[in-house]
Amino acid sequence: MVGGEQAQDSPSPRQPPRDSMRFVIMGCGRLGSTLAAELDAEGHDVAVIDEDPSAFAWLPDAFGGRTIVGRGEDADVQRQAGAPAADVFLALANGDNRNAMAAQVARGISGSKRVVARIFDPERAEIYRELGIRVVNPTTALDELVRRAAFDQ
Amino acid sequence: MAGIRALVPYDASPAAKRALDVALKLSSSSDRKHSVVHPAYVVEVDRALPLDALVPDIQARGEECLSEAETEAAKAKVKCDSFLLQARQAGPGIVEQAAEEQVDLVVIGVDSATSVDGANHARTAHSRYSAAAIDLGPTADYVISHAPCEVIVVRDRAARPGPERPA
Repeated sequence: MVGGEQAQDSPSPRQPPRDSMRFVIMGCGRLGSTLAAELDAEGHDVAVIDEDPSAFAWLPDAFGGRTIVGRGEDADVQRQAGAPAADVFLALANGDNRNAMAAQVARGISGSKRVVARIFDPERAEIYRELGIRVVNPTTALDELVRRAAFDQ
Repeated sequence: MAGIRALVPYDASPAAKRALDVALKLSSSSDRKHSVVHPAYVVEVDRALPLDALVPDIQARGEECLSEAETEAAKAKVKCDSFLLQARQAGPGIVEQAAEEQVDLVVIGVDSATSVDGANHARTAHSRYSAAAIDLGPTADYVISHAPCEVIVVRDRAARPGPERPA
């Protein structure tokens, strides 16, 4: 549980989870591995999928989650990673179309509760959003952060 | 950004029209000059007939559909190269063509009648997704599990995020 005083006073943006959740992360690059390590350290149940076994070297030695070698858009691989019981499936591989497909499979076939896909291209992000995929677009997000850094005091 | 080559099974149904629209938008968002959309109409040929049998009515219908798709692509200023395919079943026909053309993407429309939660559609023996949360119908099901590239599923009704499962 989060300590009340600490929650108010601590400058740290990360807090231990109120309830442990099940995450499946597709793509063990910089973002996927960082998130996986953080979520694992916070006490969540984490499984990471990547088709390149050497990608798991991004994970810290202390990582206690599971790693699955395979294509994350494949329903069998998702199943092996526990996507049907997952609270959140994050599609964070490098290809936009791939992430979109993985998100659709996770949502429609595996049945993960919540699915998020990283889509790099803003135009494609909008197209996929219209298809009902929950999308995070790094360009738009970064644009906002840069503007804030540039204009805010 | 490199162009994309997208195969779109096309029979002029509302779902197929929407899939074509998505494929054209994706092509436009990429390098349009190097993008190609491939609408494909699949004539399913009965096993009693040779695969290349003449089925004039259905082939004419296919040509009509593809002509419509080509017009839409021209409006969107996206290069279009359509296929009239003959196969025993649509799914394998689409997958084989996707492999042959080495497309980057298949964008397939699914009628809402077959894509309802609760799966009331009879599943075929090849289905790997018997426990699927959403029934896609046998063609999309086959294409997703066998295509050599990414597959995007488009439903014919207005897109909206589905309700999230209760925790």
